[in-house]
Amino acid sequence: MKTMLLAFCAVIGIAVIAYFGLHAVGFGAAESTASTAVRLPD
Amino acid sequence: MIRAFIAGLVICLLALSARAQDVPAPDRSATGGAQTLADILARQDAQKIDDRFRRDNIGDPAAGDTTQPLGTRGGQSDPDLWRALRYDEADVTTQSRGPAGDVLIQDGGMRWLKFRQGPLVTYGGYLLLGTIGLLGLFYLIRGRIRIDGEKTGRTITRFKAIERFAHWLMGGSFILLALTGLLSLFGRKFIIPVFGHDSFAILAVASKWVHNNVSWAFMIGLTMVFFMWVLENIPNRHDLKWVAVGGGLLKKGVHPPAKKFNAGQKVIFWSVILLGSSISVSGLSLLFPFELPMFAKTFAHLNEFGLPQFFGLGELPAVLTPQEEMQYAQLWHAIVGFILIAIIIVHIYIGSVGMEGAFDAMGNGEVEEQWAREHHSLWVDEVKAKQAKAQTTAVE
Ligand code: HEM
Repeated sequence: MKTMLLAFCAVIGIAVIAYFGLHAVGFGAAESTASTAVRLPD
Repeated sequence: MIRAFIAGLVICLLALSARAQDVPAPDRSATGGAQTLADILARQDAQKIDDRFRRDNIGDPAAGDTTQPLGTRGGQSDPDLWRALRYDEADVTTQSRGPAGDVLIQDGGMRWLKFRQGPLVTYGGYLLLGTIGLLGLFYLIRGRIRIDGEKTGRTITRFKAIERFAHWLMGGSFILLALTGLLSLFGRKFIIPVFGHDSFAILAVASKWVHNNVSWAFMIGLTMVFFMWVLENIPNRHDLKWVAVGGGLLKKGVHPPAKKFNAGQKVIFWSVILLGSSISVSGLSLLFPFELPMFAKTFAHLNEFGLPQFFGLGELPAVLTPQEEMQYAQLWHAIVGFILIAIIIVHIYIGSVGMEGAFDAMGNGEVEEQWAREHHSLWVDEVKAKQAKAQTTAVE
């Protein structure tokens, strides 16, 4: 059971890391399809 | 293998949704080759029309110089240009750097939206409800599958901590992904009418966050599980016997022999691996919009293979706009997702309430020896033989 809870915590941990990681690489549709000449909504 | 599987499923899907019929090309001499009333009526009737007479009729910029009557566009008139835009044949240059930025018109959107809000929601929903209903019925008839023999009080280690960790990494994330995925698909139809737009907006944003980011945990868990359990999931001759007696699930006291995983579990394993990978790949394609198009290529391979033609679907479109690629990715992701969710509902049932003693295998990793003898007799023999050998070497 301890392993199960550990795995569930890892799910959350990986998700948070992924969130910051993905933003660092600029993955969103808005970011990946816009040129620098386009202003994105803040 | 995965490709072939995807191919098969695509074909089935298209076969189900194909209502269009081929009609002979009408005589267009009266309109000088342009659309006729018959074309328009056929289109309104959702019949399949060979549209090459319009698609290919986009003028020729190279023909005629710019001083000729057609003017500055050379051998291309305005209608030619509009048709070129309409069929994504125009040479468009834009400032927008996105891959889809130079497609000014694409007409797959309505078809996609209707399919997503119609058959996808309806049949997907019935699939899940039907699965739950059948399990309920199974429970009423068969009840909980008990350990038939006398319990020994001894336990055997079935899964190591790392195996349980990987299972729950994959399982925990999958459940979150399934719930948030279903929420995004069904929310508009079922949640907005009850709770209103404002509450759903919060739910939808949260769902999207969870769905996008938790997907990585699932992919990591899936990879770990694959490498740890693949060897034990290769089919063998015992599986035939197991299937022949329905795994002994239907009748008390029937226990076909099995090694570490029985045929039923192998089906679960391979479904999770194959469908899970397919969902992962199409999911990545959705997560990185326009970066990983894969349907036009797959369709081209299928056409070469002759599979769609065999099913009377004609050739699948081998040229797709970036938006259409995304539309197919979404539908594929959702369809395969529904199938795997249905399979996993059955798995969760049998791994918890459905069978006495099963949950311990993934709970603390230790199973009752009698449970193991009834469901995995050959595996118990292997474990015992190994233990005996270890003991004799220790004594020596
Ligand atoms: C609450 C949810 C779940 C429960 C209670 C559960 C329970 C179990 C148990 C007890 C086993 C070991 C069976 C044995 O001893 O042989 C197992 C194995 C397995 N589980 Fe789960 N599981 C859950 C969710 C999931 C999910 C969501 C997935 C995949 C997305 C998954 C994939 C697998 C696979 C591939 C195996 C190995 C093959 C098999 O035994 O069928 N499980 N699970």
